[in-house]
Amino acid sequence: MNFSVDRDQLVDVLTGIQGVAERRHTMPVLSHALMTVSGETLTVVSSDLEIVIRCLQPVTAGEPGSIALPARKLLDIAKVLPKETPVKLTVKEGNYVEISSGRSHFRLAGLPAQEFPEMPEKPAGKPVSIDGDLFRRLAEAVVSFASSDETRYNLAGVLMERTEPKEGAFLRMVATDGHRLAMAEGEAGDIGDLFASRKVLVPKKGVQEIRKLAESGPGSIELSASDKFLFAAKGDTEVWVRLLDADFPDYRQVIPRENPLKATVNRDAFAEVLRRVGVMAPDKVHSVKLSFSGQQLEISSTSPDQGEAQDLLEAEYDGPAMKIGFNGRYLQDAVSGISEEKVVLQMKDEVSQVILRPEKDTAYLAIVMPMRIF
Amino acid sequence: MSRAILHLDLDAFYASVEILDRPELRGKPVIVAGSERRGVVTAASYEARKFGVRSAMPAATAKRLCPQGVFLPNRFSRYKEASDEVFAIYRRFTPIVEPLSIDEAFLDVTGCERLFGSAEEAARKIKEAVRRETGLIVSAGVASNKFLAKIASDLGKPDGLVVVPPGEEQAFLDPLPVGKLWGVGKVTEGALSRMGIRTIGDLRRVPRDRMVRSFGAHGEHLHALSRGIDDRPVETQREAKSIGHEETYDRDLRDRGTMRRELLSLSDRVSERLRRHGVKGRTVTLKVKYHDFVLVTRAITLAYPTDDGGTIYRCALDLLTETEAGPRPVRLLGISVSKLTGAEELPPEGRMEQIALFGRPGTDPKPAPAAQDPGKKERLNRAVDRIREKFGPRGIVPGALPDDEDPGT
Repeated sequence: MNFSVDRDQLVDVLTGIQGVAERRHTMPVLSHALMTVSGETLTVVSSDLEIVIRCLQPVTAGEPGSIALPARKLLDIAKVLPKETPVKLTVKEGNYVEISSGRSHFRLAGLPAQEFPEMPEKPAGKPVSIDGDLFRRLAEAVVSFASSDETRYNLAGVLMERTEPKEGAFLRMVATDGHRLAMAEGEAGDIGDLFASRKVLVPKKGVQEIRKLAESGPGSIELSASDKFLFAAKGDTEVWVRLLDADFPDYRQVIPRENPLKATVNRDAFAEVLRRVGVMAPDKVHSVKLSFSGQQLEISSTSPDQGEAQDLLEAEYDGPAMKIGFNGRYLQDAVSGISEEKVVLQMKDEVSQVILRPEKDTAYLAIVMPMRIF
Repeated sequence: MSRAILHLDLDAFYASVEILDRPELRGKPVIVAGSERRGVVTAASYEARKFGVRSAMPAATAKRLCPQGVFLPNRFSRYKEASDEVFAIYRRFTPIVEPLSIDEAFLDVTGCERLFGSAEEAARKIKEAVRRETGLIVSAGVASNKFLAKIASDLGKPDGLVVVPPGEEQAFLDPLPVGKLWGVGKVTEGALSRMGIRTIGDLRRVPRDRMVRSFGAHGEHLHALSRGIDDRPVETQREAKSIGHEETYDRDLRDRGTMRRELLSLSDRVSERLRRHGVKGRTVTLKVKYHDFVLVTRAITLAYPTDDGGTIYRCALDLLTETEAGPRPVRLLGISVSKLTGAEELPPEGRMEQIALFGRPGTDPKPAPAAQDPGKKERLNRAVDRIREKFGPRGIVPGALPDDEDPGT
């Protein structure tokens, strides 16, 4: 196999697949990118068995063939090659590849292409088209709420489903780690029954990869799904994400219908005070205290042996004086999903679910469980 | 200033206590083991050792090596009693006593010359006092640090007193095999041997860089040890790194249901001990020894520290699914909790604990009352502890463990 490619294009395509190339050496070939030339096209694939990314790249082809090359090292090489100069790759005997550009020469050891895991099939059925910006917005708003706790496999992803409360089809994403939950939705045009006939629970990392794909430029992404995979394509790039085979809890049950105590605060001021007071919050639990009283919200934190912090902000609140503990990070994540000027906190008491949502928009809400204050 | 550290190690401790209690056994090969059929040797008298019987060896092997041996079951509470007596004697000589185990301790007697004479004399006086007052024999190592003192006590056994005089550390260490170094097991020993390193002296002559290249941080550590360098102080209050409990079963467990019951019982005991020590831990480790003695461990780390038996049990259940327990018969199960933080790490006033949104993940959408409110769970656990204080450990048990039946007996 040999081919010539523009250096910048090679850097781009290798950067795109890097997130999936496995760094740990459980299976050496997974730290490699599979490079295949056929006709005038170079196909680059990287896989960690859970996520597979495939990119196509036009090249000046010499001879077809394929080889697996260490993804990280190949990118490191591509980056230091002279800019705007064609790069020539030639496979030599013993799974070596020669990389040359101008007067620079590299020899890089690879692995036989056959060692690379087989590609999953593309899901059957017509793919649906979803606005890339919508997907990115929804994913960003909820993905940090998914669990990183390895014991909670069924919470380690984002649930995607179709809702139709209003006219048109809505795409909804929900994520929770068992302490807090976020739900975001948006009108998605004709998404057919892509998310209706099956449960689509997408692991956190897979959501991030599809989000990256969605924000790689304007336009929509094509989505389709099988029982095992969610498949996304945009331009010359395709992503397969293995779905989580687990039961997402019935999240509707934990969304309170009535939380009578309502406090409205300025979004930016709230975020800033949380960040400020968070500096003195204990490291692991990030606990902060919110004290509502009249038109004032006091936020404070205490680190044993270190000290304290407190700050005040204005709040529209007419309930009884109340003191609630929270993980400050959870509140920060909830606020960062809101783009309106005002944030509404809806509470019941010190130990029940608290809703955070934008004042007007109903397409986003976050639920945070308080921390009990002893 | 040069320190004076003693390492004191009771000889064949469990077996010696048994002989103390039954003088007719003196001079006989006494072997203490969990159970003659399935247990592991926890102590062997020197008479039994002549037959090749060693601690940690399966009792069945010991029986084969020494069929005439007197096999006795463990009586831990009696050993603890004897150990307490001995440690009380140690503490008459210095308050700086670091217990390593039930039968081993480090003592720092630096600056005690006016009271007891030299460190060697102090060691001799302690040995005499222990023998006179308890009838037990203790071997002593005297050196300028813990590492050397421990090697020294081992060299003189039984009834030893080995002194490494200050300034002669190197001469003492050099001829010893590298296996004597802490942290050199079979694997490292093999690797060192392939490098032509057999004695501690050989190791000392290897350039530090080469040791670091071959063994990383561990190599650096070994290099320091080979020079007799060990600055660790004798710590009177060693903080427990983990709290756990394990059980070896007389008959292999084959059925997951039985294993789950055992895990519930183990979780319950571990959580009780956590609460008794006033600590919580974030990492739960499950230990499974299969019938063929192959040992595996699986661990998970939680977002919040816990001392709750139910939480530990659910983790252990999840971890069990990551083992081959069931298809492969199991002879031992153990649970331990590590990454401990003192419950008092946060001030009692203003301590905060996260409340859960769901009950058990995925199974119960309604928050379980206890999971919903950690305060309730805490009060419940405290009540359980109080009932056990009053009515004994079986005064209250989890509903799934109503009777005394032990699946392994």
